[in-house]
Order: sequence, then C-alpha cells, then structure tokens
Amino acid sequence: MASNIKLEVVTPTGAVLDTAAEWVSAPGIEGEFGVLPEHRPALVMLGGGAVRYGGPRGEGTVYIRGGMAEVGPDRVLVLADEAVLPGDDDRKAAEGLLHGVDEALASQQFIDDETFTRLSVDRAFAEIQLGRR
Amino acid sequence: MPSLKAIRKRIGSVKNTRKITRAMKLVSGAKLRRAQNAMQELKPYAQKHRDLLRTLAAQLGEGGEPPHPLMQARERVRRVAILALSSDRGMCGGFNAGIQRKLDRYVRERSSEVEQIVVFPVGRRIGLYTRKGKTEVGREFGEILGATSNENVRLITGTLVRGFLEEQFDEVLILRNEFRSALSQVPVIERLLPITAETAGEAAVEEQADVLYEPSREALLGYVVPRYVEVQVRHALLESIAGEHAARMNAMSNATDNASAMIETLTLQMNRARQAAITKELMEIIGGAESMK
Repeated sequence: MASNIKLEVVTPTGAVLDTAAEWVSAPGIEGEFGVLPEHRPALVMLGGGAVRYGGPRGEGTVYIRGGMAEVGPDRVLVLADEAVLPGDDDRKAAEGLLHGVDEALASQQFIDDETFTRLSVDRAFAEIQLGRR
Repeated sequence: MPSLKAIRKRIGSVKNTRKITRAMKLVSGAKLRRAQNAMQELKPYAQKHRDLLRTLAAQLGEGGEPPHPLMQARERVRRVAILALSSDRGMCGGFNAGIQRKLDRYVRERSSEVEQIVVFPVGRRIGLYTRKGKTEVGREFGEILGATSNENVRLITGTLVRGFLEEQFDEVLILRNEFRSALSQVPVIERLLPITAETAGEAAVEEQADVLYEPSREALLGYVVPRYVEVQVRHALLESIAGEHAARMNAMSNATDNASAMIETLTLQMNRARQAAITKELMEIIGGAESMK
C-alpha cells in the first residue's frame, strides 16, 4: 500500500509546492474534500481557499485561487490559477482583490453563473489570506 | 582630411556609443535569462492542461459533435482576428520588421477569401504600425511588458474568446516571433481558435477506469478549454518577450563590434593625421631654416 501521497501545486508561474503528505484536504468547488492514500482516481474542480496537508514533517497550507486537482492513489496534483504560501501572502493585494470583488458585485444588477463563481473564488482566496476564514 | 581635433572628438563619441550598446547587451542578456525561466516555469502547467484537454475531449467527443464550442470549426471563415505581438521598443534588429512584413503578406493573401481581418496588437511597435496601416484594428492591449500578468492574460484571452463565441470572428490567429534559439527568431502565424483535433492531439489517451469527475465531465471541460487558450496566449507572450531580448542582445552585440571596428579605423586615421601634421611642421621649419641661409 502506498503510505504516502505526493502533493504538487503547480501554477502558470511555476511550481509552488512539491512534498510528501499522509493526507491532503482541498477546497473543491462544491465543498471541501479530503484525500488519503489509495484514493479513487478523480478530477475535481477547485474553488478558492486553503489546501492543507499533513505528513511526517508536520502540517502545512497553501492558499489557492481556483483551479483543478487530479487525484490518484499516491498523488495529488493541484493545477491552481494562482497559489501562495502563507508568509508570502500579500495583504495589500488580497485587500485590493476583495475590494474589486465587492465593487463588481455592487455594480452589476445581473450576474451570470460563471462570473459569480469566479467572484466567489476570488473572494475566498482573498479572505483566507486576510485570516477571515 | 578632417582635422586631428575632429577625429578625436568622433572617437570619443563612438566610444560612448559602444559603452551604451555594451550595457544594453548585458541588460538584455539578463532579461533573456529571466524570460526563458518564465517559459520554463509555464511548461509543466501547460503540458498538464494539454493532457487533460485531450483526455476529456476524447471522452466527450465520441458522438462526432465537438465537445466544446471553442472546438467547433466554422464551415466558412469570413472574419479573422489576429493577435499580433511585437516589442515595445526598438533597437532589436529585424524583430518587429519581420512581424510587420508577415502581417502585411498575410493580409494581402487572405483578403480575397475573407471579408474582414481585425488585428489586436500587443506591444507598442505593432500598435503604432497598425494604426497607420490599412488593416482594421480591434482593441489595443498596450505594452507587451505588462501583458503577462494574470489580469492581462485573462483580458486578452477573454476578449478573443468572447469574440469567437459571439461569432464576431470565425478564426483567431496569433502572429508572433517564435523563439527557436537565442540567435534565431522567426515570425509565425498560428491558429488559436477554434482548437482543432491536431492542436488538441488525437485521442491517444486511453481512458482511465472509474475516474470520479466533480462536478461533471462537461463542467471540467468547460473549465479546461478556456484555460488551455489562456495558456497558449501566455506562452506566445513569453516566447515573444524572450525573442525580443535575444534579438536585442544580438543587435547590441553587433553594434558593439561595429563600434569597435570604427574606433580602430578612426584611430588609424587620427595617427595618420597626426603624422601628417608633424611632417608638415617639420617641413615648414626646415624650409624656414633653408631660406635663412
């Protein structure tokens, strides 16, 4: 039995994380989900929020802004639109993003599903960095 | 023959020019490395998206219908959009001229079959050029240097994808310099939309049994396809930027060599002029002494 999961977080601007983990939890677009070794293969759309993982060397977090995860028995590959490690996060950028989301919501009377999903992903990404979640 | 003083002044000015071109070459070299790194970093992400697109599209497209509107080829291509990439500044050899020539040739060749060709320029040079030209200009995206940020890539891709879906265009192309190596950049035109079987790759990926799709295959494909287009655009931008720095590095390297050669010639000329002046003075002294006798 594979006792470890290889967790990779990749963004268009490079790999953010590549580590071994015993468990991984990630924010799916339809809710948080957890992965243990020997998980059934899956493709999951991700929302905004924190990918958390735990392993022999302790636990960790990565904040992501939407994306997709490919889950296999011994690996989790997260393809994120944007990802930051705690400590590298930029409060100003997050506040700016949140402000932009609020403005977009206030300025439009009708919002289609796609825009709404994108805005809520952005909001989650901003809020988790600001510690409001 | 110019005077000694004039030649000295010229040597001084050419030396200054050489200092500038040498500095520009070094700066471009550093920027080229950074641009190449950015290209390298996009690679795994891009590769994975291509694989996912193939897998998902192969499974959904079995009925013959294209699985996604962006993969639907139009029967008749009437309107074409071209995303044209150039640099913001000159001093990079034939980098921008090549793009302009290619654009003109393409417009000339296709204008008989299609009704309308709209250019979307990215980069100041091509922006200025298309403004003067005869081709119709869509939206200008400004400078290429800021264009690789997430927001701008999304803006560019969004504009083109929306145009394609709303049938403003039947085909979207990218015109850019392909980065073959640090010494060679070639202007190429590639198709961005619709995504065809060749670009997406044949259905060579065998289906993995029992894969869980959340929320659904359709939704995932709906996410992957635009992301794939975005990756293509981002890749083109990065490649063009890397090419620009490489072209500028070569141009400046040549300019530095030329300046050195010129300094050599001028130094020779200066020495000759000095010799001539000395000889002339001697002749005058000797002549004067002779006449005193």
